[in-house]
Amino acid sequence: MSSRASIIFYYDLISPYTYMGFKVFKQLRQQWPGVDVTLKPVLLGGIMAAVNNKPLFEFPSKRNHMIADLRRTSDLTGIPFRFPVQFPVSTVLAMRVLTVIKIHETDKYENCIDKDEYFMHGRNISQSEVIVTALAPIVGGKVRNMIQLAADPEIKKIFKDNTDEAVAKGAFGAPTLLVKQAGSDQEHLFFGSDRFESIAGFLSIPYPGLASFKSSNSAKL
Amino acid sequence: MTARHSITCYYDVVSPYSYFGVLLLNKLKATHWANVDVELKPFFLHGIMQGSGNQPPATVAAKGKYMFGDLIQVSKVSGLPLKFPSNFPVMTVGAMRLLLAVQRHASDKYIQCIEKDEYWAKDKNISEPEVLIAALAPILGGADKVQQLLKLSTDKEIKQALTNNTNEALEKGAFGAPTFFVKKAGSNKEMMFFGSDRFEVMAALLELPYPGINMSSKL
Repeated sequence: MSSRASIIFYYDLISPYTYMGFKVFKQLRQQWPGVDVTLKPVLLGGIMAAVNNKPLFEFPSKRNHMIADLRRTSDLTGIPFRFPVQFPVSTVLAMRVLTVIKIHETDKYENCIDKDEYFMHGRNISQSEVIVTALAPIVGGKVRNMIQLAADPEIKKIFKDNTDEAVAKGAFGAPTLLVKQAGSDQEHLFFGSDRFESIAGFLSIPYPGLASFKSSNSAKL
Repeated sequence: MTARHSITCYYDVVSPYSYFGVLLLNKLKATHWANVDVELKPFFLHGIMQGSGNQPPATVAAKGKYMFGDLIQVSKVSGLPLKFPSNFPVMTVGAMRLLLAVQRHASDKYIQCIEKDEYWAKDKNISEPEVLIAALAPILGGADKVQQLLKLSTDKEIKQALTNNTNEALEKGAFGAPTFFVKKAGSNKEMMFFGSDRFEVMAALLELPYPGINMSSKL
């Protein structure tokens, strides 16, 4: 049992709501220094298959709403978003590479997740060359080595175990957040990029609101 | 096109998120969003599901399980009471037609009638006419008045109105409940928002204050 509050954030780069949720979460965390955060790579397709769920993009009306919904959140927060022309693509390689980076380049891990290749620039992140171009500025020449390591059985197993863990804890989609209050062993599941106000209430921490992001970002210029 | 912002909310009382969505919207209207034209339109969620090819969340066991916990969290953080009913779901077409009849024939009592929590806080079976009568009699001035409206609610016209509202929402892209269509003042463009958790974004779009989910102590 930890005396600090904690959040495990399960993510897959394929998920538009996870992209937005990660960026919103990153902003909010600036005001949540007392919360321990773990970012765990998972395969959303694996979660869906395990619980018999279907991706929302298979329903035209849900898909249309999602795109409009994310554009509005983008307008409000200033977080860039453009729905990619090629959707979906396979993120297995990219997610395994991030699994490698989490272990071998831990201090650069979060910067590697926080890229806009797919949901702003529409680049095909299933391709290793796109991954190389995206991550080379952060991890340098080691990036090709990271891609090779991604094929290790050990890495594949860790990635699969993360996905199985998320399913075991009740996940059915992404982003999924597992939240523990300070001094408690109980994990509470929150699903979606739209539960941060609830999470803040649950942890008794401030929720400054999405509208504050733009002004706080321009204040930093 | 109007000179005021407008929000149309399609809801079905079978839906827990409709319960929260309607209450939260009404609170916003009563406090910070007074100049927004709000219309609450009864529709038939089952018809929306069938028409859109969607399925209720509980069809996926993990989603259903999650929903129980999520509703408790929303209840806690919003201060709105919720006790998951022992019979879920129940047929609410009768209740929705009755609310349509109230909207037409006792419109000044409509909001009060929608906001009753017989199902979502008191575990009463709202597919039973006696439950509806007991719930609405204090508001509408007696069991007889409710009986009259119940009778009217079986008219072809009311049945058609529920179907029309449902089809209208479907045509505009609805796939669940609650579904909101928001129009900015001076614009014809309707923007669809799904779910009871989009008021913060709506507020920003309409340049209105968003006081946070916990509005119960803010009147």
